[in-house]
Amino acid sequence: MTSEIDNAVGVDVGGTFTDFLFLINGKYSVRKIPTTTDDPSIGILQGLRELQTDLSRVAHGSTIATNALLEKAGARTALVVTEGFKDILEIGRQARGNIYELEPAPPNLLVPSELIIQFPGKLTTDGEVKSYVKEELYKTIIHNTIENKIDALAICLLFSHKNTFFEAKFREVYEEIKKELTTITLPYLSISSEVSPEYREVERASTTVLNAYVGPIMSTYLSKLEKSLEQLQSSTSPPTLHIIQSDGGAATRSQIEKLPISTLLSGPAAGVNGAFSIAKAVDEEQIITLDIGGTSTDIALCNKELPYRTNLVIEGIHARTPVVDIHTVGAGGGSIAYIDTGGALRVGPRSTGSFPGPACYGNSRDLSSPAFSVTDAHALLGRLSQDHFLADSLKIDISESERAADPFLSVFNDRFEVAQAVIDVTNANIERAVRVVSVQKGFNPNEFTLVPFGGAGPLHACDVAESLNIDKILIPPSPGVLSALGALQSGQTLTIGQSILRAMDEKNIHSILSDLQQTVEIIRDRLRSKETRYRAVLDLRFTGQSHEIGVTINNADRTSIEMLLVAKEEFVERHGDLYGHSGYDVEIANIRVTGFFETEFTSPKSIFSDRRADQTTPIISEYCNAIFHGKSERVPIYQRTALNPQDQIAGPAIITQLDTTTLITPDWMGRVDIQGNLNLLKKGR
Amino acid sequence: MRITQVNTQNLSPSDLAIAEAAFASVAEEMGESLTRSAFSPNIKERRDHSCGVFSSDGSLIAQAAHIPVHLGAMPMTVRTVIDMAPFYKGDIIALNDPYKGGNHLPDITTVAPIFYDERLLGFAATRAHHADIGGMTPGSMPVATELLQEGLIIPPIRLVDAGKISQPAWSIILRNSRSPGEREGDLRAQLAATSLGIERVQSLVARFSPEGVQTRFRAMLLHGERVIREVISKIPDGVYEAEDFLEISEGGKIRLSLKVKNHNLYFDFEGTDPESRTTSLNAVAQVTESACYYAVRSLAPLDTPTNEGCYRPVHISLPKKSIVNASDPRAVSAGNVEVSQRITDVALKALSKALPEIIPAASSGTMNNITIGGYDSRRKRSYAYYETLAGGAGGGPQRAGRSGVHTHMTNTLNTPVEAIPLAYPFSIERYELRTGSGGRGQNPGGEGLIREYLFYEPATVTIISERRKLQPWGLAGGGDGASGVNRLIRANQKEYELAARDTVQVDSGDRIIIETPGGGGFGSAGIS
Repeated sequence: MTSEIDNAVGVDVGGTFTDFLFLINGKYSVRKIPTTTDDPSIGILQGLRELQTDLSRVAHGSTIATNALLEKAGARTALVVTEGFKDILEIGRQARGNIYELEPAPPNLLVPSELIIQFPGKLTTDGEVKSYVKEELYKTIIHNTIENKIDALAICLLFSHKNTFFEAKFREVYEEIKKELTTITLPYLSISSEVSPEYREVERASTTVLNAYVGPIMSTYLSKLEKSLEQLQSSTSPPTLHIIQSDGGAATRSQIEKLPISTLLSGPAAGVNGAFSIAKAVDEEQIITLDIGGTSTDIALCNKELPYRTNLVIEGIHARTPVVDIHTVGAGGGSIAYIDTGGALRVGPRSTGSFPGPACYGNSRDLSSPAFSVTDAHALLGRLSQDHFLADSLKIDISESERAADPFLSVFNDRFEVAQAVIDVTNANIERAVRVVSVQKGFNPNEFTLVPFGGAGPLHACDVAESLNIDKILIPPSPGVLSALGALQSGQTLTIGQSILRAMDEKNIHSILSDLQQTVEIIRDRLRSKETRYRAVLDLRFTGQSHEIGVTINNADRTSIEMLLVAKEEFVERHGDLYGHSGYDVEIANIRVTGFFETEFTSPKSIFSDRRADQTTPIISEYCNAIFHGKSERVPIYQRTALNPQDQIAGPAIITQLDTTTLITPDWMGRVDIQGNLNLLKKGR
Repeated sequence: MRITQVNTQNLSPSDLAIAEAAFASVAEEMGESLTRSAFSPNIKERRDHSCGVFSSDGSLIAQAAHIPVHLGAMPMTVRTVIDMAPFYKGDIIALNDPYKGGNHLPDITTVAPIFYDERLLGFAATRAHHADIGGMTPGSMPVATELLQEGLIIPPIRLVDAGKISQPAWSIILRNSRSPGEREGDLRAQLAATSLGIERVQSLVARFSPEGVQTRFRAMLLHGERVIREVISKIPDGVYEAEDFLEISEGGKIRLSLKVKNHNLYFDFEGTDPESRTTSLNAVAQVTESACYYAVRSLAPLDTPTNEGCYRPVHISLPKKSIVNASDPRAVSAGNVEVSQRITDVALKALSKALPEIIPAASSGTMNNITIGGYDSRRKRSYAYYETLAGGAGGGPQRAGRSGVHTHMTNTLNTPVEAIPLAYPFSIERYELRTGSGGRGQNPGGEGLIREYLFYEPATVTIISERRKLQPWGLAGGGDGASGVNRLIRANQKEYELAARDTVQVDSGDRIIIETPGGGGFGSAGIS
C-alpha cells in the first residue's frame, strides 16, 4: 500500500449505526445506515452498493471479537497447561474485583474446567527441557479436540517465553495433521509463544485463551466479508480489506485471523486515531480526546503520538495486546442522576441505555418516576435546540425532563438548579478521568488541546476544559464519524514482542541489539514492503522493580548501541520526572517492535459543500433561551454546515449538526479554521 | 424516589460530590505514584499499601486503600503524629511502631503536614508493607514472643526535616534491613507519593479557598456518617453475640457482643482472651478497629466514600491487654494478618444473626503468610521474600464461595510463577485449587489452594498461618471448610508436617507444600 488512499472507505460498525466515510476522487462524503447486528457484514455491503466508483481499500473498525466476548458467544475452547497449574485462569491473580464484596463475584472463565488439559512436559526456570514427552501425546491431544468437537485450542506452558520447545512442537504436529486430514476442519489454534511471548503466566494464558475464544468467529466473519467484497466490483480486482487493530493501525485478513485479539478496541482506537490525524493536520500535536457517548466517556492523551499501552482488562479478562491507551469512565448522556443515602448528588454509572433513553426522548411516559439523565439536564438548560436535535429525527419532550427533575426539588431551589448540578457533577467525573490519563502520568493538561467528539463531547467541552485549565478546544468537522475517519486514514501496523529480561549493561548490550534486529527482520519478512518504518518500545525498569516504563526508539531498523544507551538515559530521566527518584541499575524486560506504513493525511474539508472562504458573518438560524449558572441568556443557534472558514462566533452560542450539538459557553469564542474545524478559545486569551 | 434534605454545611449536593471526587482523586494519584515507582513486588505487584488525605485535626478525608486492614489504622497514626507539632514546610514523619500509631513493623507509614500560606490545612500519608525490616527471620514476620524480635522499631521521627532527609535516621533504617537497596527504593517512592499528595491538596485549596476546603471537609465527614447510619438503620436493633478462636494454646478466644441501637453500632469485645505472650497473634487496637469498620463497610453501597465520618456511628470497646488490644512489648506481626481475619469472622458471625439473608459463611480466615530469606549465591546478594496465599471464600445467600481468592482484610495479588525465579533462588512447582476443601452446602464454600515451593539453595522459611486445626464455619446448615496443611518434603523425600506457625531451614532440593483452607458452605440443601 502506498500513501495514497484515494477511492477508499473507512467503516465503523457502531451499536446503532454503521458509519461510512468515503474518500472518492479527493472528496469526502458521509453515509450512515442502521447496523445489521446479527451479521454486520450485510450492513457494510449495503453501504457500499450503488457506488459509482470502484474502491481500492475498505478499512473497517470491527466489533466482532469484542461482542463475542461481551455476549459470551465465543468458541468452545480447550486449554493445554503445564501439569500442576490447571487452575491458572480460575485463580488468576487471587484477588477480588471489589474489596467490600462479601460474596466475591466468580471469575469470567472462557474455558470450562473439563476442557483443561494438563501437559506433563516441563521446562526448568531457565528454559531447559526438564521432562520430555512422547510425540504421540501431541497427536492424541489434537485428535481428542477434533473428536470432542472443540472449536479452538489454546496452548500456554510455563516458561515458554524462555524456550518454545513444547509449544512449537504443538504447532508442528498440528500442521502435519492438517495436511493429512484435508476434509476435516481442525480447531483454531492459539499458542502463547506466538500470541504473547512475554513472561507472567496468568496474563499470557488469559491472552492466549481469549485469542482462541474469538478466533473461529472472526475467521468466519472475515472470509464471508472478503467473499462479498469480491462480488461487489465485477470490473476490477476487489478492494483490499483492512481491519483496524486496537493500536489504531490496520491489518490484513491473514494477520487478524492469527491475532483476532488485536481488534478488541478497534473502533475506539480508530476514533482516537481520527481525532489525532485531524489535529495533526492543523499542527496540534498535543491533544486530549474526549469521546462522550450515551453510557460512557473515552479519554486519551496524545503527546505527539498515539498513546499506547501493552495490555487491557476487558470483562475481567487480561488481554496483553498493544492498544491505544484509552481510559473509560461511566459518564455519558444517558447517565442517571440520583441523591445517595448521605445526601450527595451522584451521576452514573447506571445509564438509561438506548431504551428508554433519557426522559426527554419520551419513552418513559408510562413510568411514574422516570430517571433524570445528563441529556435531560441539557434539555432543561435549553442547550438541545428542540427542532434541530439529531437533525429532526427525534423530537424532544422537555415536559418529561421536567417531570424527571421534580423529585430533586426537595434539595434544589428550581429545576434549572437541578440541571446545572447534574452537569457540574458529570463534568467533575469527567475531569477526574482526564486526570488519570494526564496528571497521573506526569502531563499538565494545560499544555494540551481538548478534542471532543461523540454525541455529547462538544456539549461538555468548554466546562471540562475550564476545570482542567485547558484554553484551547478543537471540534472536528464531523465529530460523529471520527472512527470511520480513523479507519480510513489508518496505516498498516504489525507488532511483535518478546521477553528479554536482562540487565542493560555492557555485557548484554550487544545481545539486546541483536534481539531487536532479529525482531525487525521478522516483521520485514512478513510485511514485505520497502516503505515499512519501524518503531521499537523497550520496557525498562530498575533491577528489582516489576513495573516497566516503555521507551520508544523510532527508526528501529537503524538502532545502534548508542541509541540503546540513549533510551536507557531517557528511562532514568523519565522515572525521575515521574516519581521523583531515580538512578539504579537498569534492566530490560521486553522488546516490542512495530512495523508500519503511514498514510498521508488528506484534509476532510471537502465534507462541506463548496463555499467562499471570506464570508465572516455566519448566519444565525434562530435564537433560544439557555441557562448558564442560573442566568437565562438569549443564545443564537448556528447550523454547522452553514459555517465557513474564518467565521467567528462569540459565546454563548449553540451549533447544531447531524451528529452532535456544540455549546460555546459565555466565556468562550469560536473560530472556524481553513480545514473546517471549529476552534474554541477562552475569551481574552 | 424520595429525596430528603440533610445538613451539608450549606454545600449543595453537587458541590459535595465534586469535592469528594477531587479529594479521592488526590489519594488515588498518590497510590498510583507509589505503585509505579516502588521497588519490591510486595508494594508494586501486590499493592500492599494505602494513601490518604487528612484534615488538620487528623480526620481521614479520603483514602485509596487496596487493603481493608489499612482502613481504620491511618487516623490513629496521624493523631499520634499531630503530637509532634509544631510542623514546618517539608517535614515528613515516618513510623512503624505498633504502639505509636503503626500496624505491625513491616508497615512503614509516612505523614506530612500540608501548608497553604503558612497555615496548616491537613496531612498527606502513605503506608506500605516493606518486605524486610530486620528481626529474627527474613521478612520480619517471625514466630516471635516480643516486639523487639520482630524488627527495627521506628517511633514517630522526622525522617525529612524541613525538606532535608535525616541521614542518620535513613542509614539506621537501611542498615537494619536484609534488603537495604529495596528499602531505599520503596521509602523514596513513599516520600515522592507523600509530596505529590501535598502539592495536589495545595492546588485544591487554591481552587476552593482555605475556608472552602474546611467547609468541604466538614460536609464530607457528615456525608460519610449519614451513609453509614442509613446502613445501620437496616439492621434490627438488638444485641448479637458471637465468638471464634485463634489457634493459641493458652487461649485464643475472641468474643463479641454487638449492640445495634438508634443508628449506632457498639462493638464490645469483653470476654476476649488476654494478649498472647507466646505468639505474635496480637492485634493492636487500630487493627481491631479496621476489622470492625470493614465489616460495616461491606454492608454499605458501592458509592460510599471512605472518610472518617463513616466511623462515627461505630463504637468499639476493647478490653486492655487482650488479643484484640495488645500492649507493649507484645509481638504483633500476626495481628495484622491473622487476628484481623478472625475478628472479621466474629463480627460477621454476630451480624449474620441480625442479617441472615446477607452474611455468608466463614471464608478461609487466614492469609497463609510465607517469608523466605537467605543468601542468593547466583546473584550474590541476600534477599527476603514475602507472600500471602488465598483460600476459599465462604458460600453465601447469593452464590457459592469463590475458590482461590483473598477475602476480607486482604486483597493482595500473587507473584507470577514466572517472575519468582528472576529474582529469587526458588520456584513454584505446583499452584492449583485444593479440590474438596470447600464446605458442603446449598451454596458450597470455595476451594482453598495448593502452592508448592522448590528450593535451590539453603534458606530460612517462616510460615504464619491459621485455621490449621479449627475449620472455617459453615452457616445456615452448611458444612465447614477443610482446615489447612503445611508440609515439608526434604530432598530425600522424607515428609514432615509443619506447625501453623513455624520456622524451618531448608536445603537445596527441599520442598514446602502449603494447602490453604476452603470456605464454609451455606445452606443445608445439597448435603446428603
